[in-house]
Amino acid sequence: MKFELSDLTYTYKKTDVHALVDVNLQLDTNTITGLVGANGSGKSTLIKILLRQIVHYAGSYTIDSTNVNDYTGSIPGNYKIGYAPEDVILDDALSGYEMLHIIKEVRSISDQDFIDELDQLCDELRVEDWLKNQTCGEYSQGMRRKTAILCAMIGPLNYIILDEPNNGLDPLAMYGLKQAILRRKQSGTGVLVSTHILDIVDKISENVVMMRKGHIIYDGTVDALKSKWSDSATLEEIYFEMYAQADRNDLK
Amino acid sequence: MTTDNKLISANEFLFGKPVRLMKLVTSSILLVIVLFLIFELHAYLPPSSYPVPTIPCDYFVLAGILFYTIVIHIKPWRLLRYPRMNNIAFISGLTWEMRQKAATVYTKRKLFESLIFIAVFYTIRYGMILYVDRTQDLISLIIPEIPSVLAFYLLYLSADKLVGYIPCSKGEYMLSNERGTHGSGILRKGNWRLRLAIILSMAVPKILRTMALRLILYIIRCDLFGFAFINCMAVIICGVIVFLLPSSVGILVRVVLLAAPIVIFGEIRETLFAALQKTIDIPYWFFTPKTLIHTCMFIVSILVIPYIGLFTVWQLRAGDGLFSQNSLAFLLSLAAVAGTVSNMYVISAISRKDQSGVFFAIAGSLLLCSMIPVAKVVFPVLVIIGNLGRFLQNNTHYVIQDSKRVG
Repeated sequence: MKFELSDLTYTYKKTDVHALVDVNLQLDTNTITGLVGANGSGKSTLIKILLRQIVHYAGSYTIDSTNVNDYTGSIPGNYKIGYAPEDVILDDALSGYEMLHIIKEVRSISDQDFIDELDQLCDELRVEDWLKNQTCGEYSQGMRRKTAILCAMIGPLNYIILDEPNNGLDPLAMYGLKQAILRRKQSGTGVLVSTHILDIVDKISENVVMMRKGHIIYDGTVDALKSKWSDSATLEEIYFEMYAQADRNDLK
Repeated sequence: MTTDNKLISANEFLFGKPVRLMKLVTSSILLVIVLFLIFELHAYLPPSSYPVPTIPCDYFVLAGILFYTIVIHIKPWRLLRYPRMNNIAFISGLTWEMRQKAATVYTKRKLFESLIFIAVFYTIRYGMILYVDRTQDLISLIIPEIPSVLAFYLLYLSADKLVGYIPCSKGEYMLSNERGTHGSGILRKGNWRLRLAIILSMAVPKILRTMALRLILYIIRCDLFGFAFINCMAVIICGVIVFLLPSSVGILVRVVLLAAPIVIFGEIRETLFAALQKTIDIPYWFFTPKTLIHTCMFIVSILVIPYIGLFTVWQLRAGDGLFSQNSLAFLLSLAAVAGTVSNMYVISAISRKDQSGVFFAIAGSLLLCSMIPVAKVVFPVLVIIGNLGRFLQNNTHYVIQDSKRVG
């Protein structure tokens, strides 16, 4: 499965602010892509466009050469895309396990696969009995985030989009999340992780997309980026330097 | 603010200001006159020139009040068992005891209103009997009514006890002072709710099963006891009415068997609406608008089946035959109510408040039309056609909405 965005521009109608400007991007399955950028750089807008939450944009967006604007079905449902939004949305009346059971039915996961996969994900994310015993309305912020990640990652999926998955996670769960993402990648699923924690991108991503004020300032492999700078520089330092350079160019 | 003042303001906030006695009496008089116009005068019209009412108004009023007492308990039930459906920010400031007191005051107030109605009803009724029949034997007319009025008065006296029986459970135990005794995890261990929902969802076709599972789980989680109790009680009461009423009052049976699902749908429609709204908001699954409506229709149809069964039994007992005009009218009216209640749940531009108004206006009109010869067939057909049109309109609306959101 391949997402392709060509010369995509999106402007907020009310404020006339350009959220995305001439974005050209390709995302494939079987790769982990980190999406980084400052607040308001257009990361969430890009994700919303990928999921067809936003449709009135200029340029083209295709999935497997099918123009998304011509497609009438559900993008996440039909293309098997798992999504965990930045603002966790759960059904407060149900328990996390009950929600996952409905997702199991929706994604046609067999009983055995569901149990196996849920067990593994629960181990990785340090999910305990509360998943079954409490309703989502009673969960803490971290529990809600873990449940949202479980909902996004369970089942046979082509692509997983995680928007700020690290918010509210403890270090152990963060480590488990990285393991889970790597495991999904090994099984052929593509993952897009939008995050402010560059360590995650550095450790698990092959590709990185850096955004600034609606523009993509870098799109390529992490290794290629590092090789352009000094070998000892961390991704954080490189990102900081790139941003500073772009700011200086703006001033000029 | 003292506790009493707090309680008064809580009551006014949650249930509105109490109705003035004068207004209560006037509206009761108006309602009684309307009831008499519908039932008593209808009975006096030719061809039955003999001036004996064929429709026992007493039965109707008592059946109506029985339903009313059930409906009265729904609000305090919600307040105590599922406060999130009310104003959570406000309710979280009230203790469990205060909520219980507020619920008792509300229940007593509503029972008092029905007592006033009963008083007005019997005053007018016996006034008419005295005026029309010039009977001197008033005592023998009044005595049979005394037990039912006394029973209702006892209900009024024991309203606080009845509210006390409403348990504090669900996930809302955090809002009560009864942490540890209720909802502390004993019931919520295991997946009995899930298993129950899976079994119940087997009643719908496979294609709708996942959505049905989701809706049933929501209902079970929200208020299983209330939902089951109201549904079972209504069927039992209707069954008793069907078997007790004489076979000459077919019109009353039709009205009661139509009124019962309307009352029940009036209760569950908000829960179903909330479940559907939440279903659409959640980004981890996608259900087409058709699936949403069809599942709702199936659940509503399942709830309607007992009333069709009771009506069939009645028809057989009265010897009317299964395929009469009355049967057609009854089934069409039920279909119209079920269609309206299902259609209201399509997420559309209408606000929730308006939806209630529209539902009860249509349901009330269906109830009235079920007593008028031609209208009892024509009006339900019009409602069904209107629902179909609205469904198609909402379908288009939903597709447009869907393009702006995660599916």
